[in-house]
Amino acid sequence: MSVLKINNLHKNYGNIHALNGLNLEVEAGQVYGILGPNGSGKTTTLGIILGILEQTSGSFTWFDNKYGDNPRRRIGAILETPNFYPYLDAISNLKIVQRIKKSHNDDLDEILRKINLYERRESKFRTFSLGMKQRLAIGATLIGEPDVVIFDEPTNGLDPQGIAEVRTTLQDIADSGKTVIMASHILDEVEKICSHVAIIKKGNLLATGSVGSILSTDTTVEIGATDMNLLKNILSNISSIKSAIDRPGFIECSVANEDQFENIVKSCIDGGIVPTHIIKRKKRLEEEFLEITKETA
Amino acid sequence: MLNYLKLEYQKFGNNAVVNMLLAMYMLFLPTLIFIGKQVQPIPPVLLSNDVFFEFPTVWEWMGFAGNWLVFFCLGFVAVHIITSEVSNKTMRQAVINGQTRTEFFIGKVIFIVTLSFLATVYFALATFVIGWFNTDSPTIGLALEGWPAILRYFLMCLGYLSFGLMIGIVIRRSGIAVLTFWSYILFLEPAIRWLGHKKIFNNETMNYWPMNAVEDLQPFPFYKFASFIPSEVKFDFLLDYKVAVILTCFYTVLFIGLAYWSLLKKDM
Repeated sequence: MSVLKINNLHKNYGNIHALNGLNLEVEAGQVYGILGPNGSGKTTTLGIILGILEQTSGSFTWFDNKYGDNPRRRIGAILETPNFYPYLDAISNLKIVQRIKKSHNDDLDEILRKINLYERRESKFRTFSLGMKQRLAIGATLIGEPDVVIFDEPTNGLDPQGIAEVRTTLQDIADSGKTVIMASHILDEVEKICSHVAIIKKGNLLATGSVGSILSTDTTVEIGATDMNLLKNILSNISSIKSAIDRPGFIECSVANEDQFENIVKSCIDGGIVPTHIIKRKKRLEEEFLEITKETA
Repeated sequence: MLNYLKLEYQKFGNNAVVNMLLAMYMLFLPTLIFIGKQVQPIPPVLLSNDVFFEFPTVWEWMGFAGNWLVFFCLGFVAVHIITSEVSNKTMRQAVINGQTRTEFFIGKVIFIVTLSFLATVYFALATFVIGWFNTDSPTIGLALEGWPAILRYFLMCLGYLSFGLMIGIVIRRSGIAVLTFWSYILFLEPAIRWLGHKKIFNNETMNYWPMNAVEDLQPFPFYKFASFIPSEVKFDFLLDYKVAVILTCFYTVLFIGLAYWSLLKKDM
């Protein structure tokens, strides 16, 4: 089932075109990452589909219109910052969300335990650390057992411990089989959590698909030696190397097949060089992202 | 409707600003009038300061005290229930969580209508008690002579609160909105009426401005004796109650309509 369909969405702020005909489709069960640099239109897209911004043109459909005009009670979402009443405690804030969502489930204690805030349920929101506020916001998205949850930059501004805590919670939600839509510019986060990804820049969709299909099958080999000039000469004679980039202390080579790794090492030894640094790895989303966004810069 | 009220109570039942303003209203409404005990000498037209506390004139004096308190305290509450939701971003979160803008707005309108009703009930009770214990030989009939004042008080509350709600939704920024609300009523509208309108149309229409119409539902009782006050104006100093009621109803609907339009129109 289609959870969200976005058709030719445009949004202008005066002369600035924040979205230029964006098209996206999210299917049920996908953990969908929307990737893009700051100002690429991620939050604008989420703001429109969540009803707080009006699009200039274009349309979007939630759940194939299964829930009529207002499907947002079936969606749990955080946009930019956790927004709660600072003078109320955690449980009172969640009860407000529960009433808005018209949820009759008696599951607030369970949710508070899941986000590790049960012990602080009677503490005022304003006394929470940023990480705790973010976890409470994640908890609020789970009220009423929504069909889809949306997170916008969920680890923004958190310290390393906060990031780890939030990521664990996000991973648990993703693993539970819920449809998740997550906007982020932190590629590592998307790569670890998401099954599908869309890359947008300046309001344009640059690439979309499963994380596996976005990542190329190329293998990266990092190799270093004491005599870097000789190493470069040897590598330049290996025809299976698609590209070689100078990095401090090593050369980063891209090969189509990981079997080529053995051939590179053998060529170095045959050429009289003992590598001091060898790493073989798959190309990461970050590199793909930089390549994709660079091509359109 | 009960669901909307419960939601607003959950949001603002523990809000320090709202609680402080409501406490001020409740404390000052029955006590402000006792300043009348200190008035010396009594203006000749009043004969005695007992008129402040006796039926039926107690309704007018209490209504006038309430006029200031509703404007100052409850009007502030009406502005605050919007601007605090904007500054905490809970208004947009409510929409994200599933409320429509219309549902959010209905909640606020129900809140101000309920607050106006409760403020009026409190006014009626406080005035009744003060009048009962300060009138020689009080009777229910004598006390009930003030019932039109109760209805006008309710409309006055609605007028001030709907104006506050509109200012909150249109301006959205807490400090600026409250300042605009107070300064419009205290300075801007009187300045427009007396320095602008009167110079162009020197007639009764200068009393038709919105906050003046609302004020004239519970005016300063002294103005009843306006003929004693030297005046350049050649028309009634106060609006007739019926006119004030009609104008207040019209402006209340207008303010609520404008507030709703603004809420639908603007991005959050």
